[in-house]
Amino acid sequence: MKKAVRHLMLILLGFFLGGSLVFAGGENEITTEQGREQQVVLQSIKVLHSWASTPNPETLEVIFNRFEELNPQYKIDDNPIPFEEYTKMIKIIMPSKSPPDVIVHKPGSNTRAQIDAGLYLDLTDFWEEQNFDSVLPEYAKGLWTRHGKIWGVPFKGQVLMVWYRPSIFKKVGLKAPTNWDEFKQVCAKLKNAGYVPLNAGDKNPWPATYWFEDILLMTAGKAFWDNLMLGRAKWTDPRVIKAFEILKRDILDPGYYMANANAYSYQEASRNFGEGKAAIYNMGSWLPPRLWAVMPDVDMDYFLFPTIDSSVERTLRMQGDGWAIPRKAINVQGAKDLIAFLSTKWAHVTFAANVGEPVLHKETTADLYPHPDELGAATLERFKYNGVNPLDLGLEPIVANEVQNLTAKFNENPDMESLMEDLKKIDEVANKVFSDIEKKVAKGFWK
Amino acid sequence: MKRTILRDIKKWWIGISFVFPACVFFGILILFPVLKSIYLSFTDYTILLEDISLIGLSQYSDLFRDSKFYLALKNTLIWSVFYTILSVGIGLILAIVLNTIRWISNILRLAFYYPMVLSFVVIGLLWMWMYLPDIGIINTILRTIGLKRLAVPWLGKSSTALYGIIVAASWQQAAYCMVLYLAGLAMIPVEYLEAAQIDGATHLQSFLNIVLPLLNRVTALAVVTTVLKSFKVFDLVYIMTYGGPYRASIVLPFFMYEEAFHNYRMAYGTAIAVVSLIVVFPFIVFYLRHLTTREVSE
Repeated sequence: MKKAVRHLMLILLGFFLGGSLVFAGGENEITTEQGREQQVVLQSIKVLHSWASTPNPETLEVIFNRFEELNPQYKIDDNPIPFEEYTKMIKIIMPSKSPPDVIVHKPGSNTRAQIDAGLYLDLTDFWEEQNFDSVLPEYAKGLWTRHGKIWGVPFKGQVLMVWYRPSIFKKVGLKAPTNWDEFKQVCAKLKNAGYVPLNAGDKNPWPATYWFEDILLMTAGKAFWDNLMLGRAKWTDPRVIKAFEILKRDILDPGYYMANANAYSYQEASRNFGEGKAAIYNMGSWLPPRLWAVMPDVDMDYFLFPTIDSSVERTLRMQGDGWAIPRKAINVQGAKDLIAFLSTKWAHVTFAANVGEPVLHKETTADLYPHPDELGAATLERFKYNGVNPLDLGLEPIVANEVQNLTAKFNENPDMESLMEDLKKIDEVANKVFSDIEKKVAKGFWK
Repeated sequence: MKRTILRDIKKWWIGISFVFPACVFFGILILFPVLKSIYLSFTDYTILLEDISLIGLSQYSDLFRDSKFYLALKNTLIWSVFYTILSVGIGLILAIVLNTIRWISNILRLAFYYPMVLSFVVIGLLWMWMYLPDIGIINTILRTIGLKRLAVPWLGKSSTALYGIIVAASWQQAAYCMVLYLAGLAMIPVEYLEAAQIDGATHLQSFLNIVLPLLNRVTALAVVTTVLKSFKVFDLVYIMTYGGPYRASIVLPFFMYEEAFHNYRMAYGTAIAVVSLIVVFPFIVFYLRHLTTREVSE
């Protein structure tokens, strides 16, 4: 009998241990849900963002604290996550049963897929109520518009420029070029003087397309670009081929492009630029603050991409990162109140002045930024021209991946025959991808 | 008969009660995810939509028509072969050297074992910097000793990128194989070698005819564990080349990650995982049947 009782107790112990570990997570879930419901009464706003890796990341905390002071009924639950992890995590968190109340995202292919899946809250009415048209640029609103509705509020946006080293230019006796002929002459003189004219780091292949993108925009225009990004134009279109031909003839064949670019990430390649081995770098406005953080004495300025065809209106590649509200957010009103506050001039100015990254409020001025004549001036260009997402954000990831790998290969070995074969394959891939997207949109989850 | 069964149950229920929690863990953390993954591979699941439909073998049919899959599979098999040869070969050589040079072997063991304690991220960053075309130490040494032609962009060329990562990975795995072989060498009776010496055998003959055969089991263990590990490689590829240049170093785990998490094709990613499991399954069976059951019976 004693033995049987002992055995029974052992079995019960086993069940208890196993069962408690199995159900522990469930209990935590329930507790969390109950806790969150309680927190709604306390007006908690859960924010998930990727801006932990900006310079002076505590700036957002300052902004959030100010919001809490002005709105004592709210408490912000701030969750900063490093950018690379965030891009993966957001794809899992958005469809989950308990997403945050406010997220940030880069609009484009990633947000399109999530919008089509019905994961975002429609903010069209909110946009009108807050009159954001008066303070935020048109291009950024366009980046967040899909199916005729607005799904996010842009806050900051990098602009992609051609950065150069004025000291090197001065040494070689050069001025910033304004048209393509001047640009070719500049590159030739830089090469003769022993510099790498065009810096590049194509290991993570998204920068590999940068020169191609600008050439295509300056020769084919915004309308064609938009169609290409949305699968309404072909990659074997003569305008695309012409852009690759210009890239080959005027940049790659003369040897102006950085050799072995595939061996460097853009960060590693930045060293070449900072140390004065390379003179020109087609990169986003995130480059200067990061480079100045480690090389504060580096001189850097920008010029707009040289005109190739004067009949084509200039379009800049610009981002429009912004705030959005998941459809399943618990505290929607709190989220809207927070986003309205974040869209004020004060919030933009505070962010720009401390983080040094370009914000999107129309009333911000160049002197907010650490180097107003260079970085500040570059950020204001966005208000003068049309804007589109760069390819890695604007094009569906599967197709973008193909184009980036193709261009990285072309940059190293510019063979037009091989390019044509690859472009045909990309058309096949794009056809399938966009046809799948149309089917998903037709299901109407976004409505 | 009934009394026998009851007696057996009484005999075994203590063991079952101890094993039960582990079975629960195994079921929840391993068996359920594997079965769920296999199920998802027959659906159109994209992680974004809760609405999932069964689509039969469509994912597999797409996979077997995808040239990237064959590229990733080829690279994974190349990885397997070269990774195993390098790791096991270098591990064996190091073990023999350390077993011979007694007086400094402890310090050398520590030095050679060091890579084992580093994470793949650290190894990836270290080797990435060593491979840098202009200031990396490898090319600097090659240029210094007059081999400028060999100072290529190791991770920037499609023909060398994969092998560059394999060398970095082997640097760590060789340490593990070295430890296995050192243990194996310690178990070889000294009398066998002394007898061979007395009979006039050379060192090489002793090594080939006595040491190597007695190390068969260790070699099998080193080879199988290294092969199994080669099918899991992801971190190094992610850190060092991100699958480039232009997919030259893409392997199955990275391909799976890219499709599932970058391209939103979760079901497609699970199909890749299932196919990877089928490819590696014979090695798992071999390992379990030949390298574990004998240990139990011994």
